[in-house]
Amino acid sequence: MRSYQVSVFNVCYRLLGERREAEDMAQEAFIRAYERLNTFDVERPFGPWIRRVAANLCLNRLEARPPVHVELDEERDETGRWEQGDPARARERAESAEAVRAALLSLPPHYRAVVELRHFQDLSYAEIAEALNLPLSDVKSHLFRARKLLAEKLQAHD
Amino acid sequence: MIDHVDDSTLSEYLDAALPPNQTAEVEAHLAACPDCAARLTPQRALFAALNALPDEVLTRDLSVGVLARLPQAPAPRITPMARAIFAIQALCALILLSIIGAIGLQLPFSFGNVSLRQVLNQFIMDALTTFSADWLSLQNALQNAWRGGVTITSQLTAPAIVAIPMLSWITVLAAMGALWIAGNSLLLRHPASARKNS
Repeated sequence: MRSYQVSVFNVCYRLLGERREAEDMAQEAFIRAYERLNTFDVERPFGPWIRRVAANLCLNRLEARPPVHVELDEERDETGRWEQGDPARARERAESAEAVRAALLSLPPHYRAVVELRHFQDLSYAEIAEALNLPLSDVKSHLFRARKLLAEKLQAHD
Repeated sequence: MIDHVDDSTLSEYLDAALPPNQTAEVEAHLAACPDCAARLTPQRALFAALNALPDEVLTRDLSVGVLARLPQAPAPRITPMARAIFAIQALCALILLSIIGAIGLQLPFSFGNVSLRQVLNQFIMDALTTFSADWLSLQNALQNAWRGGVTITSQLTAPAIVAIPMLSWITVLAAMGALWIAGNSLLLRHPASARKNS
């Protein structure tokens, strides 16, 4: 479990944007995975499976709550990695990462989920469709619209 | 040659999700059309920005909380049926051990009409007489030693075994073996669980 907890936590953090909630959901994902271990194909790697479980849990959580403007967790700056070398460059990277996270969190839940599965979990369109129980055409349109929104947000930030 | 590539197709192109022939068409068009190539640039930048997003550091071990919430494994329960099977198997084992023990005790004193000692003695005698004359003294010594041993062991007694036909022995042993296997298969039986992907 320790081998996967960082990646599972990061799935939850990208989707939820709040550290404590992401930790709780990551734990929930492991418990859910344990309960459904009989559905896991042992011939396939465990990492992608548990991350998919986590993404689905977070998506359910996002859909269950009313849409709110999500602020990035302030705790992040205190626990984030400090880069060695040029402080200006490090600050620039940190700001860029913050902008990307904020843009991701501004997306509707399903758009957020397809971006997570495509860009961070490297799933194909068909695999995303299966994981989210969506038609393939919806996956393509969600991904396209999500990217368009992300690009607009990031352009506005710049 | 295609007219222009729309943004949706460019998005799929960057995902390598287009079929090979369409990919080739898009690439050919992008090489020749600066407008479409320019529209691809911000999409590439977005991909790069997403790929560059660093992982957040996890500051506490989640496994403690997870393990605390997992249900404890139930203690193994011995059913009355399993108890009965254990008892029958123990009885079978006792009977088998008694039979084997009795045969083991009886064999040195009676092996049909000829005693085992006589058989062994004859074997050794035959073997020794084939040796050269140089071994004659050794043969005598061995014979003397053997006869000394025989004198002592012939004074021992053991309970006589009741003559039971071989077929009966085989039947009893086969029945016990079958009972043993049936008991084990019952005890080790687990419900099969179907495994498939979600």
